[in-house]
Amino acid sequence: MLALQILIDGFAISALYALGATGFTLIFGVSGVLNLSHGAIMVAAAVAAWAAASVLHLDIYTGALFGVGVALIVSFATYFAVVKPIQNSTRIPNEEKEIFVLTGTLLWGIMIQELIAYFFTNNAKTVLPIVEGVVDIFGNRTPRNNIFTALVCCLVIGLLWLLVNRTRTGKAVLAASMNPRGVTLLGLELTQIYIVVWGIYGILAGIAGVLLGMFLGVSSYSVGPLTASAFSIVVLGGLGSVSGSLIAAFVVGYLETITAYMISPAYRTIPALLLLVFVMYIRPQGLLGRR
Amino acid sequence: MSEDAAWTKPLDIGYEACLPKAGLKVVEHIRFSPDTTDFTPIFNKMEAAKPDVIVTGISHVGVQPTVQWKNQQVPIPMFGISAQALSPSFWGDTNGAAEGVPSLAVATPDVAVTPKTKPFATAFKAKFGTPPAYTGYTAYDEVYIIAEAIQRAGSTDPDKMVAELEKTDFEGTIGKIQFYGKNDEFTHGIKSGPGAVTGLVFQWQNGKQITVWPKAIAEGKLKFPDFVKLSQ
Repeated sequence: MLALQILIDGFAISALYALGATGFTLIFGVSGVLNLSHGAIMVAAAVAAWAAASVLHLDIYTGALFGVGVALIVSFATYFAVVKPIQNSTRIPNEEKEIFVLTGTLLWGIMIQELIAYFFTNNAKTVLPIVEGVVDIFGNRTPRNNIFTALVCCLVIGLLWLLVNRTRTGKAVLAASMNPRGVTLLGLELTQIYIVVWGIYGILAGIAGVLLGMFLGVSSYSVGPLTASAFSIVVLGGLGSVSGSLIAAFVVGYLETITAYMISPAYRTIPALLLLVFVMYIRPQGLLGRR
Repeated sequence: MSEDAAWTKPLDIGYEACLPKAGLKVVEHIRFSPDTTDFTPIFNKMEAAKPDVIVTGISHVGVQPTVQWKNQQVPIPMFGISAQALSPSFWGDTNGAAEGVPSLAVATPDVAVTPKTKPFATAFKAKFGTPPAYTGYTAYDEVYIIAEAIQRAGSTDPDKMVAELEKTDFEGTIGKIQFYGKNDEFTHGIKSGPGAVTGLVFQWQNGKQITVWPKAIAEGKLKFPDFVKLSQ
């Protein structure tokens, strides 16, 4: 009974983590950028979807789209206002650019977080679920929206796989993640690939944010923990490896759920962090990492 | 069910002492971390203990347990302190999941606790765009109480002010305000009870905070959503 409950509850949260981490790892794979404003972009999407419904009185679907749209805009803003100027700068030595990008995106994330707190307070906001009600799965009362969340996550990840493996643009993205120099030699503009990747990332983070807003609710305080969980999932899975991140998302999601049920909800995140430290010791490149 | 914070420690001691006196048996005492985001395991654990009611002591959290209570259709009513539910914006923040959530307050915008309550709430809303939060009513009263004490004392000397404050007999927005004396068990606390400040119990119903207790000023009765199964 408890096992089934853990299985069901863990799936939705794991699927959500997977979706959030996929975009994060994609950007790292292609451009070597660890975007520490990730949590802020997810929260911005959820709060925008909430505001669309509660302040602008739009319907649920338009509100959700609005949230994803805001994430897309913030994602591009992150690239053009923070990441690109650092990458193109001639005054920052190349070997220091990574640390500048880390610091820059971290500060950018804090700015977004404070703006949200200023305009919408620190109180948690929730997005109205697209599907309401509960279903009984072998005696476990499960909100329909959890199933919906899991399905959307799987669908979007599936579409991403198709995009990357079956379309020309996707193949260019994949190639850029393997060998950026080779891609430019083939006549492709790296900047354009970056724009595509930040676009994909914005949509993924937006969907994940809005779904999280429906599933658990978010506040400006969620920014740090969301970035941290994406970061640990991606490091655990192997930086830049999308399939590694997917596996790691489920490992972390289930480990957290098991801890919350079997030990205490207060210690939810601890075992996953211990696992991360352990993996760093025995396999620093992560589960499926190449480098 | 209380969040693990300093303010809930004495509250929980009070709950555990008083609830049995009111004929309620405490079947489970849950303290959870204020940074909890997923309440599913907590609600499931509670449901297994089959309580008639969840008595809450929550303030740092509010929106998330409320929305998850509704989305998961937890069949147990909630009652007690839910500080965020006092805020007029709680309905919007929860997208209406607040339906059926009661909380305790000193005043709400639509109920004449005293003749001063509604005019104050209306004027506040006209000036600031939203009705006052709970601290608005007490702060408003306190300014008058302190100003009058200073006028009576003719000085801002602390000892003279305290002597005058002890004599306070002021009808504010939250009730008739008097203070217990220096040697009372509750030194200088606000006198509570019938004829003094009673506080009130309200419940979110259809987007409004409807006062359900005390009877003299009640606008409606306790009413819970359909998924909540009341034991009697």
